[in-house]
Amino acid sequence: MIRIENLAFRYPARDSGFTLRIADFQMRTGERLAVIGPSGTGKTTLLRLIAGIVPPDRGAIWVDGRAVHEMNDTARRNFRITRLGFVFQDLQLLDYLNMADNILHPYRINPALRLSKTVRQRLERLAEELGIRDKLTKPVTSLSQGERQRAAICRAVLPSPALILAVEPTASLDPENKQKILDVLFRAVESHNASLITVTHDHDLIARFDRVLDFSTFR
Amino acid sequence: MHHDIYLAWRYLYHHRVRSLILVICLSLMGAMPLGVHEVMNQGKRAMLDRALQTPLIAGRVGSGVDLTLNALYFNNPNAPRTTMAEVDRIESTGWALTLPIYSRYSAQGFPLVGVTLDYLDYRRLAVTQGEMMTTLGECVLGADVAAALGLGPGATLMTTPGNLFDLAGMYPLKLHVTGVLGKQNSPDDGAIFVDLKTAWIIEGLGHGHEAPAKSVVKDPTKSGNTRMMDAGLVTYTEITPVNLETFHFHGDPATYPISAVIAVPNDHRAEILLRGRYLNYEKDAQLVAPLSICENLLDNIFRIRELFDGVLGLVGLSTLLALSLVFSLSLRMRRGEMRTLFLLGSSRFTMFRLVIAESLMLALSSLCLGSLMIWMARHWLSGVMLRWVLA
Repeated sequence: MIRIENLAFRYPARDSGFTLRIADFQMRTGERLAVIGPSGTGKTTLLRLIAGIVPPDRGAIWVDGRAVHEMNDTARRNFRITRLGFVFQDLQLLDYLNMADNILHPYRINPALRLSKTVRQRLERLAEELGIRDKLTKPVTSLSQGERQRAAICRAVLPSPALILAVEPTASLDPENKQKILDVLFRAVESHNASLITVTHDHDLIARFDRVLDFSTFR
Repeated sequence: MHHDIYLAWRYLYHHRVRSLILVICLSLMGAMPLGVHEVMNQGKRAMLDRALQTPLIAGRVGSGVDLTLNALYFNNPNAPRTTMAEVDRIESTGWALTLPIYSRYSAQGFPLVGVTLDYLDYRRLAVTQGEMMTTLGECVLGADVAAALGLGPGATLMTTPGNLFDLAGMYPLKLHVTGVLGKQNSPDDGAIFVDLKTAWIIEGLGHGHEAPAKSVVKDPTKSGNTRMMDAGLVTYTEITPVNLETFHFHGDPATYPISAVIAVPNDHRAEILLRGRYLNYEKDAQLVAPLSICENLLDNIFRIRELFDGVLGLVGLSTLLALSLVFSLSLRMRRGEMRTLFLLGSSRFTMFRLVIAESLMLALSSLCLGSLMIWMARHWLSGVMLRWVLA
């Protein structure tokens, strides 16, 4: 699913001159990977590199058989939208849209995705699975944190991506809800036969993943 | 494209107070100068239309503007009066149709205008309810008067006494409404029309009263019997079929007052001749062309438009600058939202399109609201402008 070789990415804004380097990394299709480590070690950056949000300074990244490092901006963007699902740490939901519109938002701003009746039906099914169907027409400002997390997961999963990237999807939740959200995420991944990489600080959860990538030693 | 419109609408709707304020600002910025111009033009047009339909006006020597405005709009009851001799003078030439007007009095707050039926024919004032006045003491109401007073055929109304302390002045006269004139969107809609003779009765030049009773009254201060006329002579304040025949006029009809005479020349030559003739009467009379009088008057009054334009230009410029600032600050505030759009797969061009869609929706809403404001100004304020000019 993912292969990374001789990757280097230097943070332009950081005074420390910190550079993320990964010599070799591979991940199988359907694998669930947890990335852990202290803050500032490049966990989220790795996901952003894989997603093509930022290009690497050096090295190669293949995702789902495609060379992300060779793509131009548009191709990277279209690839990210169609083949990857991203659950952002701060969820990136827009206040002026209701939950359904937030979930469908990528379909409205990128021509690579087409908003059809089938997509709407899939949204309803997925919302039912995630337990947020009755909240679809509610403004996001009126939702609980757990409902907002589910909406973000629903948005990431809706285009049936081959790989789901999630940054702290259980942050600021109580232990019970953490497990529930993780259940939801795993269920969504399994039902779509997707792979999953999750950045987390929560060591209680890592036992549920197939593999753990620890960034503590990277620095 | 429909996604852009939908998202723009959701954004504007979510921030509806802010959007509404922006729309109102933009609308006012566009509508104010256009509305003021439109209202001024409407007022000017309405005034010139009336003047165009009135070729010449003869009256007492003095202010041509007062004479014209009073003859066209019945707005100056104290304007210098002329007499019916003026009508005779024009009629004797055979060059023009004469339409005398006497607009000194009022009834229930509306000008009471004494005219001949020729005036109503000339202004194409047809009765739409009831019938035309036929005898003394009858009147027809302009459409606006009828609507304002809620009166129609069969109703009565009292004329307003000129001066309560003038013991020798005229008595109020009860007028019988015989009809209501069709709406013309002209000053005639706001007037009450009576026959000239009825106006003169109100003036006191004609009257009806009981036959003088002759009686012998003993005066205790004088010796012998003195034959006295009864001082309690009853003057009628209403003209009815019973007392109609007792009404009569005193004096020479040529000396009866009128406010002005509208002269409608037979042709251009007759107009030139008539105007030339009046050059000989310049000491006691004048003949004016209302169109040129009104044009001069409006040109003077509407010089203020240049000032308006200058002020509005400055206000518009400052509003535009303020709006630009608001817009750029708003974009800065929305940096986080733009970042979200980027992360969700939006290109810069899509973001630009979204902002353009929002701007277009605001501009379109402003255009609609601005057009509505101009329409309202045109319909409701043009009358105000005309009244302001005449005030």
